Amino acid sequence: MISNYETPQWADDGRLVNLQPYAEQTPGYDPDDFIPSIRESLSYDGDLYSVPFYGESSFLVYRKDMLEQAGLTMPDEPTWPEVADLARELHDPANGVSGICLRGLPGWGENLAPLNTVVNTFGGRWFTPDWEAQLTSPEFVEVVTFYVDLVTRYGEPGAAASGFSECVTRYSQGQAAMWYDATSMVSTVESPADSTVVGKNGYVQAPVVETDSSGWLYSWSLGIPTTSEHQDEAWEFMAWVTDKDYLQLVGAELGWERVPPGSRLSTYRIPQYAKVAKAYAEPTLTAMRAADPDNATVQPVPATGIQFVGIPEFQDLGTRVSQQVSAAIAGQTTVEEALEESQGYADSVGESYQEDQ
Amino acid sequence: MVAIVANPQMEDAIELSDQFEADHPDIDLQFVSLPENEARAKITASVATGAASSTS
Repeated sequence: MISNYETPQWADDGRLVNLQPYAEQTPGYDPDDFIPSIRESLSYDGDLYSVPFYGESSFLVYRKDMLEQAGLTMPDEPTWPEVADLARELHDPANGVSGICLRGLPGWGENLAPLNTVVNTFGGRWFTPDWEAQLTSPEFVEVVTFYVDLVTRYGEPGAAASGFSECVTRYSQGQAAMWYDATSMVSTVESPADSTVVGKNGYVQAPVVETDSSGWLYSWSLGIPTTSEHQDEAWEFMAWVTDKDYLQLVGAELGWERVPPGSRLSTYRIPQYAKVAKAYAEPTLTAMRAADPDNATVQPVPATGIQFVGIPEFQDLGTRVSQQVSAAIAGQTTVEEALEESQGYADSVGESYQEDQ
Repeated sequence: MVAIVANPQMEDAIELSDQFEADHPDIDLQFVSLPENEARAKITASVATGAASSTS
């Protein structure tokens, strides 16, 4: 499985098979049914190079009952300072409930996914259009300080080692009042088999500061390496697992709340899905429609991407920076020191692009 | 061979893939299921060296 990070890069390198002919020639496959922002993000020169298993943006889930009990109200379009205030009020470690869950686990696809959306909406950016690294700029320091303070004061215990998996378990077991993460969380959070908080949740768009929206865009997708010796067989399986019929199969066999979300528009017209997804279908689609990888930041940037910088070097750079952020959350370093180190890594990547210009 | 991410929806797909195999007796599916971070690193390495699975 790959994503909308790898797909355009590897299509450009010739490392992925063009799937457009397969998708168009497979009866009933209907690639035009994929959610437009996801389809575009998995395309290169207008052709699909991977197909979405699920698609996601990010949003904020919160426990309606906990807020009500505390006499608090979730704004329809919350700002990050408002969310921090709510987290402070709701934080109740004596009863095993943290005010909020936020990822702290190292990995560019782990803590940097939520953090980068916060960076974007606070007005931060990784690089200027001429590749000057910006990780020690006042905006970047401010936003990482905000994130680290929020999660260390009112977040989950052991935050530096918590990623999506740890947060989904914690929130689904009633141990957090809010959680900002992938919209695909709903398959677990609203699943009676996996969650003790089914039906108790409200969903609002990703909190903002300076931008109108800030949700990310991500898809776990399937592609075929050009080196594969079984390309037709690979497509058979990929077509099966990303088809409308597969979504029906999951619903019928395992439950409608477990249908992989965010890949196809038609999913949201399945009556049984619409019924179980009433609380989160519209917030999911709204978030996915608003996510624009070409215009995610307040200030101009040299590469596209919302929660990542769309360059091959980001996998390594992001991993290193995410380790620094995690160390700051763990209290092993300060935010300033972590960002000084990170700026050094980002400088070398930026310089390699400056030399090419 | 399918390199897949060990998230809940993908575990469901592995469970349901018996039905795919029943309909496609000529295709023998093998899954390599890895946590997100590990999957990203391993798939990138294998695609870079050409030692790739059939489906990434």
